[in-house]
Amino acid sequence: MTHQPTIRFGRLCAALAVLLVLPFVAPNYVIHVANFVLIMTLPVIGLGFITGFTGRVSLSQGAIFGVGAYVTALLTTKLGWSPLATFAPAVLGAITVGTALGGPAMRLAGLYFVMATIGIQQIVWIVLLNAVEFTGGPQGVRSIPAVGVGGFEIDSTFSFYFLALAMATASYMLAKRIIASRMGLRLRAISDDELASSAVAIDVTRNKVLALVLCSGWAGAGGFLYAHYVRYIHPDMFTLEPSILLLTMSMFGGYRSLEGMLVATAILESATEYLRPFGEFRMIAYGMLLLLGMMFFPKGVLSLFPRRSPKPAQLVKERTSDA
Amino acid sequence: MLEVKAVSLSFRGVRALAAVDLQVAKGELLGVIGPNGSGKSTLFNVISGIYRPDSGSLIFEGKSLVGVSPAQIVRNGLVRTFQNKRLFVNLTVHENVMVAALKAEPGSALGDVLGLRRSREALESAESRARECLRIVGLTALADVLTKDLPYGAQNRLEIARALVLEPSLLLLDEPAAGLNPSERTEVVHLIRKIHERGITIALVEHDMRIVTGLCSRIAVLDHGEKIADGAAKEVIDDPKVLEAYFGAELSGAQEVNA
Repeated sequence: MTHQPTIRFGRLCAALAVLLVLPFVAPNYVIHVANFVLIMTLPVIGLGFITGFTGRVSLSQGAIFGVGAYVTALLTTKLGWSPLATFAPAVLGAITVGTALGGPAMRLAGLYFVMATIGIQQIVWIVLLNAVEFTGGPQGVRSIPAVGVGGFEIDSTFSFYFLALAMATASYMLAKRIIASRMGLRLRAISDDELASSAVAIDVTRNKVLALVLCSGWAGAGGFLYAHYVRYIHPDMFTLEPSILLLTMSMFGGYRSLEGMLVATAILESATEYLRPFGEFRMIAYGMLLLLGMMFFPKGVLSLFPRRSPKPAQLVKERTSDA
Repeated sequence: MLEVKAVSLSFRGVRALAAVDLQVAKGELLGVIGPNGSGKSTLFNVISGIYRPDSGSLIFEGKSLVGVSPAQIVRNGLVRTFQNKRLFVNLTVHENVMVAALKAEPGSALGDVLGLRRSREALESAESRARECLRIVGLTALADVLTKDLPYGAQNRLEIARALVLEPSLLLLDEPAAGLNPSERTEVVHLIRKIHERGITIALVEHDMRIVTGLCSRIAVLDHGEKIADGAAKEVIDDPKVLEAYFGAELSGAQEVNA
């Protein structure tokens, strides 16, 4: 397909090379921040399926991310599952909750959908907070074990970096392939015009629900990583605030650009860390940063590097000069 | 092929269609005309499943269309275009046709992600059918242009290409020449005739009488949601009832402008 977004392997390898060297030269705190960035790329990419491709703004991604984190936390601490074995349940749990609650909301458009997702966000948070026997309530879940791969415990900031990088890379490449598939094309068509989509035999409802499944699944995978990095989770980590941050990261990256989302996640997630010295003024500084970003890069951070696309006038000229 | 029987539809008490009957026979090129607001587009919207009629029946190739989803109606071979150009503006011209071409192809999105051979072949086949349809409407040179950058005159042809790639047995064209200049109109007339010659049955809503009389052997006339005439083009345009409803209204409108 001529205009399909495809992976540029040259650039991907260059970026990976830099990212692989980073932990060997950077101080531990930088690696720690980088770990959060890598974790957050997963729910942000997931959100991209909804915001970028069905044109809907969701404010429940933080909660679904939390569902993934809680599933793996509870299975490992209460039932003694090995962390790796809980990956699939974490993803499936997030998909189940995300789709069951979000599916009916997908019928709504614009602000109504936003309102519904805020409701979903609150429902999940309240359940996490109040189902004390099941989730531990406000106490949260402590001593979540580190992920072990073949007898090696990924329990340091340094070693976790490589796990997070591997998962972020895999999720990026998988998302890229999905967007380049016929489903990606259909979702882009749906976000332009739902009525016209049904007039070319696209099953609009089915594709929107699939987008929601992907969105939730990616959030669940991110939650899995998060739980095994911070090792202690509680309901207040999954309030509306992270949902807003995730949404901002996915919108700040630019329209339908996965790479833009990744760059935006890197900038904004590290900003939340590095702005800590501002104390309670942190969110003001963060807000300023967002405002400036929206003013100077309204089409996303990657709009600094415009893509070349042939303009009709140019082509018509070429055609006549041929004749 | 298509049989519309006593179809009525009201919007909050406003009557849009009143017991409209319409038959389209296989191989026909039928024109549907009528003044503004006479229910032509509403009729197309009912046939294509966007509105559900209050009463009456719609039979397409022996199967009822009432309550069938728009997407399913398209899969059955009844395809439409839109009067107000509903294109996917953030997709390229080629992608607009490609997304429709995938309808008839086997394989799934999962197959695409995994790179299965069956899926790759399906994509290639859709690709070549999309290319072929763009060639028929003369948009090959603009295939990689973003649709929102497309000149207005080319948008009608893209709508037709996108409908054509769905391999319709019956094609509903809703004002395919609206907003075009005379030379573009001639092109579209030529294109519609070409499509009809490929064996596709066509029903056409149009304002421009020269286009309808030039193309269609049979014409149905709607006025205030009722069918007031239906028959051979020559007889219909001489029918005094039609003259009053259609030309009469237009003439008196013209006089008002002159006054």
